[in-house]
Order: sequence, then C-alpha cells, then structure tokens
Amino acid sequence: MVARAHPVPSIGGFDPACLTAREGWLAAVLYFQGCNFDCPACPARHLVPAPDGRDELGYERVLEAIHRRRRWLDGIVLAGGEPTLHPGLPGFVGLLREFGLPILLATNGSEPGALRDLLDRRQLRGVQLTVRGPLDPTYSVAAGAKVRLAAVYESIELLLHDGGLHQFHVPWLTHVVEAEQIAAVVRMLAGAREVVLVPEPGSERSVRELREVARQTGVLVQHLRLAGRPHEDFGARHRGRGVAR
Amino acid sequence: MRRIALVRRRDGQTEPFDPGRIEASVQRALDACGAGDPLLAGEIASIVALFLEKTFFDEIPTTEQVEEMLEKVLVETGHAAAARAYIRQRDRDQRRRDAGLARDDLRAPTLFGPATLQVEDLLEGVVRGFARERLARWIAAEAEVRDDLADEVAGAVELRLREHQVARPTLGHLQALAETELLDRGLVVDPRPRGGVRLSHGEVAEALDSVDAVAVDPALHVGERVVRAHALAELLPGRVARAHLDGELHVHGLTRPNSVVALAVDAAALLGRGGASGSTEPWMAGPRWLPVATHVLARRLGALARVCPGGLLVRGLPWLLGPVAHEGGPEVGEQAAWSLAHAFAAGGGHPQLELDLSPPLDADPTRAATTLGGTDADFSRADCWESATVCCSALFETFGQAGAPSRGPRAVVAVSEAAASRTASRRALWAAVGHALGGGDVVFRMERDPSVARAPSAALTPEGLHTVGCFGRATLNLPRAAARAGRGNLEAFLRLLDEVVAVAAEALRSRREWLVDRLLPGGPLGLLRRELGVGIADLHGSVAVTGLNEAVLTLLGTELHECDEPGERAARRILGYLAVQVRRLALEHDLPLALDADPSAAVARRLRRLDRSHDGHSMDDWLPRGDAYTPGIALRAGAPVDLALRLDREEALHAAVTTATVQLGRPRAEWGGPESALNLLSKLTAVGACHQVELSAW
Repeated sequence: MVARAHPVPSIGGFDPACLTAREGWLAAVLYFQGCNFDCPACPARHLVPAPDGRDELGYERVLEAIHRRRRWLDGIVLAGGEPTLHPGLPGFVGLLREFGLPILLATNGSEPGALRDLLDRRQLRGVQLTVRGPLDPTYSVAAGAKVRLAAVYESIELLLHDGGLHQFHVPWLTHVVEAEQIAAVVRMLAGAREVVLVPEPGSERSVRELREVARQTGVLVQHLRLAGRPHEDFGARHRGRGVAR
Repeated sequence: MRRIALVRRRDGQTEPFDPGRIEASVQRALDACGAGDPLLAGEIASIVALFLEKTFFDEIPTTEQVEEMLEKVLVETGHAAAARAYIRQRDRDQRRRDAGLARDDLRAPTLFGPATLQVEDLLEGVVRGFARERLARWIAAEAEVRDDLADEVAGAVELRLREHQVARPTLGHLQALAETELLDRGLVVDPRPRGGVRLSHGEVAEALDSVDAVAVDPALHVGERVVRAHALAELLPGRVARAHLDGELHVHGLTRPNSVVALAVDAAALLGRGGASGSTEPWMAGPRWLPVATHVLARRLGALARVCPGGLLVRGLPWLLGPVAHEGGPEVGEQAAWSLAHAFAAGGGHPQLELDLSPPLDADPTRAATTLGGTDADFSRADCWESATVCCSALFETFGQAGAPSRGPRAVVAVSEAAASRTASRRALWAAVGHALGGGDVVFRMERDPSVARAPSAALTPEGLHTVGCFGRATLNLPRAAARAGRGNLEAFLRLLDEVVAVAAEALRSRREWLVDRLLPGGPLGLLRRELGVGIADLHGSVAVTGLNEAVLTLLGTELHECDEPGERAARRILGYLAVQVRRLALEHDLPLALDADPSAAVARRLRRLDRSHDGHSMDDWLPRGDAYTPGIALRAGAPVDLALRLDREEALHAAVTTATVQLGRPRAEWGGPESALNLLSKLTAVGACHQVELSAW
C-alpha cells in the first residue's frame, strides 16, 4: 500500500517581518488555521475555527515571500492557531528548512506526540510552549476549553529533557489565575532553560507582582524574564551579576 | 452695406469693433511664421473687415466669429503658415480660458505650456505673467506721469523684451527698462535709490503678525528674506537663480551665504585640548573643570551654530566624558552627561546639532589619556569603553527624561558588528535604541570600516574625499525632469538631468568661490580656520536628489515599493548615471563633489508646491497624495511594505549615493522592545549596504 502524503497545513495568516514573535528576532511568522483551545485573551480568535478552505493563503506565495526576505530574517516562527494539530506539519517544516533559517514552533502543548515527532527529526531550533496556569482545573478555564492536562505535562517534560533552545511562556490572566499559582507554574518548570512571564497588557500591577514572583522563583530556572524586558533577567544564570534589578 | 460697429464678447457684453486689433492679430501670426510685414497685415485686416461686413450686415458678430473669419481669410489668401500659427494661438488661449486662468495670472508655463513673457520677482521668489497694465500703473505711480504716457512706455518695454526675446526678465530688469524708455522721452525719473531688494509694508506686517512671532524672531524672518533675495539676485549666476526659482533644483543655504552646510568638529578641539592649536587653557587644571568645560563647550557650539546652521557634528564626546567617569566613578560621569545635556537644552539648543555618541571602539586609548589631561598611564582601553558607555547611556537617559526630546541635540550613533557584540558598547547601543523608540532623535550610522572619519549625518565623507564637512548643497528635482520627459522616456529623462546637474555644479562652484575668501583667518568665517583649522580644501559640495519615488512613478507608472525587476534596474540606473555625471563635472571643474540623497522634507515640499503651480495640479492625477515628494531616494513613508522589503529596496539604492537614510517607523507595539531593533541594526551592518537608519515608534 502506498502511503499518501499529508496535505500542507492551511495557513490562515502570515507576517513576513515580525519583531515581536521572538525577542531579538526579525522573523517570518506563519499562523496556521485551527486551534483546540479557545483562550479568553487570544489575540487571533479568527484562527481558532478549523480550516474550511476559505480565506487561506497559498503556501507558494508564503514561501516566495520568505525567499525574497531571507537575507534579513533571523528565523521562521510557526504559530497559530495550533500548528501541531496539522498532520502535514513535519513535511512542511522540512520544506521550510530549505531556506536554511532556524525554525521556532509556538505551541500549547496539547499534542505531545506531534511535538516528539518534530523534536526527534531535529527540525526545530526551539519550541515556545505556552503554559497557561498550574496543571489543575484552572487550566481549562484559562484555555477556554477542556484540556488534557496529562498531554500538556508530557509536552513540558519533553522540552525540559531536550537540549534545544526551548522557551516557556507563562501569560498571566489575572482574573483566572492567582500570582501564587504563577509561582507554582515556575516551580513546575524548574530546570528550564528560559521562562518568560507575560503580564496582562496595560496592567502595571501585574508587572509588579510578576517581578516579585520572578525574584522568588528565578533561582529555579536558567533565565527568567518578563516579556518586553529582556535586560531584566531574574534567572539563576544572572544571579549575583547585578543585572536583575 | 453697413459697417460693423460692435462685437459681442464671450461674456455676452458688446464692445466697439476695433479693426486695429484684427491687424495686430494678423501681424502676430505673420511674425510667428517669419513673414512679418505691416502693410500686408493691414491689407489682410481690411479684407477681414470687408468679409465681416458682408456676412454680418444685420447682426452683431461674436468674438469667435471674428476669429473664424480671420482664419478663413488667412487660408484663402494663401497664408497657410500664418493661419496655422493663428489657430495654435487661439487653441492656447482657449485652453487657458478653460483652465480658468486669466492671462495676467499665468504662472511660468515654460515647461508645461507655451512660452510667454514672465517676470521673476526675486524677493518674493515667484514668477508671474507679464501684465502691461500693471507695469503702466507702476510707471504712472513711480514716475508721476500721465496714464497714456505710462501706457505707451509699458508698451515700448514689452516690445523691447519681445524684440530681444527676453522671455523671463526680473522685476529689477523691467523697472530699469521702463526708466530707460522714460529717459528716451526726456523725462528724468525720480532718482530715489532703487536698491536690489525691497520689502513691502505688508510683508513686514505679516512677519510681525505671524503666530510664530514668539518662536521665530520677526526681524530674523524678514532679514532672511532680504538676504535670500540678495543671494539670488547678486551671488548666484542668473541661470542658477532662475533654476532655483523655477523649481528645477533647490540651492541650500541662501538665507545664510556666510555658512557651511555641515561640519564635523572634535569636542576636545572645541575645548582647546588637542585641537588645531594644541594648547591647554588654565581652567582645565582647576578642580571645577567639569562645569566650566560644559559651559565652554555649549558657548563655543553656540558660536559655531551661526556659521554652520545646516548640521554640526560634535565627535569624541564619550572620550571626553569616559575618563571623567573613570576617575570619579559612574555617578560623576552621569552627572557630567546630565549637565551637558541640560546646557544644550537650556541654550535653546542647536537646530541641527549632532552629538556623536558612538561607543569608542577602536580609537587609540592614548588619545583618551591626552583628553584626560595627562592623568593616567594605566588607563586601559577596556576601562575607557566601560566608562564612556556609562556616559553615553546617561546622556540618552537624560535626553529621554527631559520630557521634550526634540529640544535635545540629535544623536549620531555608529553601529558596527564589534560594537553590537561587546557587552559594554552593546549596552550603550541598547540605550540609544531605547531613546529612539521613546521619541528621541537618533541617527544610527552603519559603520563597516572604522577607519572612515565620521562626518555629519547630512553629509558623510564621500569615498576618496577626506573632508570634514560640506560647503554647499544643490538638490535636483527629479519628478520635474520626469514629467518633462514623459512616461516611459528614461533616455530623455537622463538627458534632461544632464542640464540640471550642470546647473547644480555651477551653483556649487559659485558658492565655493564665494566662501574661499571668507574662510581666510580675517574673513567672516575665520573662526573655523582659527579655532578648528578648517579651510575650503576640507569641505566638499553635495549634489543631492529628492523625489526618486515620484520620478520612477512618473516614468514607469509604479512606485519604488511596487517596482518589479525592471523598475529596480531603472531606479539604480538613474542614480548610477547621476553619480557618473557628478564625478565627470567634479573633474571638469576641479571641484570636490559627491552625490547625496536629500532627506529634507521642507525641500521636498517646496519643489512639489512649485511643480503644482507649474502644471496646474495635473501631476496630482498620478502622484500619491500629500504636500511633499518623498524625500531623497526613500520609499514613500506610508507604502504598504514590511521592514524587510523596505530595507531590501532602499539599501540597493544606497550604493550609488554618499548619504542616504532609511526611515523605519512602526507602531510601538510592533517594535517588540529595543533588543529586536538593535538586532536589526547589527544585521544591517553585517549584510546590508545602507548608510544610516532612523527608528521611530508611534
């Protein structure tokens, strides 16, 4: 029996030169259509519904746009929606690797099988896993959908034991998750290479409280930063160097 | 048969029939085809009158009917060429009427319409259509003669201009001709001094009533107008002055002829340390030298501001402040930076002052020790980096905290691969990027070869020319030349540019000749020679371009950001051709010249306004909206392209010019913090070819 190739994942959005996808990168960002979460603070809700064949960008155009800009790009970021839901992702990543640019995957960790597959193939420079809260019933509230906590935990373990440049994003929904629970999340991620705490947009209080959390728990991870403040590193690597203020 | 007594005008009114006007029209038509003969004109006019009487014996003919009859008679009497000339003239008159323009208010149609008599008002900086009645009124008022005599003299002046084919006399020329005609008639004109420059009471009152009267001194405003008019009338060659007024190009520095466009000076030289004289002043050894040094620096920069209004770059400030911080600790360094920043701001600042705050990377550390006043032998390069970058960061933070960054000087920061990779200098760069994204005025200069001397951002040192500044600049109006050449006619466009570049070179040559004597030690610019050792040989001239985007749009139908490969090739070819022409003229005239991109929005606005007045807004049909051309060789600010594509398109053009700036502006939320922007800058240094970058966030 001949194995049929998986279709190319449907691309719902594309930013050819984005400065915010990863701190310090000028990256091309591909937004895949379809997500199994429905987070209350999702910045791209139009990408949540499953792909229906309409309003999709042709991948040829996307590849051409990346090719034209390749000399300025630091990498390619695969975001969503949830990229790991697409069975054709590994094949597509293989295609993108032809550009010779590092590829970063942003995922919610709900598909550890797909994640393991990609890591085993050594196709990714790093993974950015978003952890929305402690692994208890609060998580489903923060994600807006019923979440298999075991799957998320498996993804976290996978990244903690892998040697890549992985990053854990911890967005704080102040009305769903307590500051202490964010501290618990960082403790769960102990040993991680890099953790980024994301304050609620426009909330100075959340910045202050997250900074306090970072001070308490920074020793557990190598780099612990607040989003948008790359020079404030509370991680163990910078303890005693006077960088963290 | 009844004689024709009345004619119905186009507005429906009737006026007496004047056979003399028909004769004059016939005469003009015959003149235009080279068959001018007054007797013949009279005969043809009488035939026209006869036919009119036969045809319109029972009605009043209209003006059109009279003109048609004239055409018919010219054709039927065998004067086909004169008929054609007359038809062309009628057609032009009709088009003018359709455009709603009165004959007297016609504006310089040299490029887009037929040649008519025009008068240049050098004081106003405008070109007006010649109006005989207006001239007659002026003669009647000034010479106090009867109206009919004034009208006769005005007619004689017009005739003389047409005889000598002077298409565009100046107002002064016109007045001189009128006085000559009056003298010929035995009338001595009131011998009050004519003067080269006059200002009406209305203009002075307008300057006094201006809403900017508080911010801009009215006396300065009026004085600038007078000096500008004088410079156009007396200092520049006539061809150059006409081209400037016409909008073919823009000559910079007309309001300040005794100045240079841009200059780079060393902070230590300004303080008398290691400068041209090499002397050290007594106060430098005192305990309170830092506040004194700050004061002296601000005062001397103020003096230089008068002779260098276009751009003054102060180099080596980190070298000056670094040792201070090294000796007294970071707090002292920050205090020095703070007092320096506020000394600039309190003094009103210099509109174009630039402080080179580049982290001192590869400079000689012994120079730092000299600056320090012979303090130290163990002052290592690493110490100096660290200390100087602390001061750089402090300066940026101070400008940022001042609350009004626009009042602070513009900072010029060199970005090199080495600076971006070392911890201390990277921290200073990070502070500079943060300052820029916070609204500060910072230019990031891509420094690929650290041995190249730094010059002001307005005029980088051209390759092969070891200068420290720029004595003059003339900016070519590319969209005008493109409109004259027409769509798809690149070759004609380049030929037209030949003429304009030659005029620009003439402008720069005359400015250089003007400055040579003034830069001597006893001259008005002797300060530069005495204090800084700058002579004319240290300065180069800049032939700049603006509106490349609109020129390409006019020629090819697409803007720079939409251009496919042929469009890009065309843009590069235009700049390459200009670079060669500038080099050729430099060799021909033995002038140090360079091709630049003019970043000035004011110049782009002036040239667009002049082009609009020339072509009656028809260029607006295909050019992007706005009141200015896109400055320099940049892509339009609102072009729908991302950062990478903008860089790709613009930096390819930077190779052909000496100075050009890429403006990267984005909403604040899309910048993602200084780290991303700094990364982008270091990448530009490593792989790109662009000269300067300005970052902005909104």
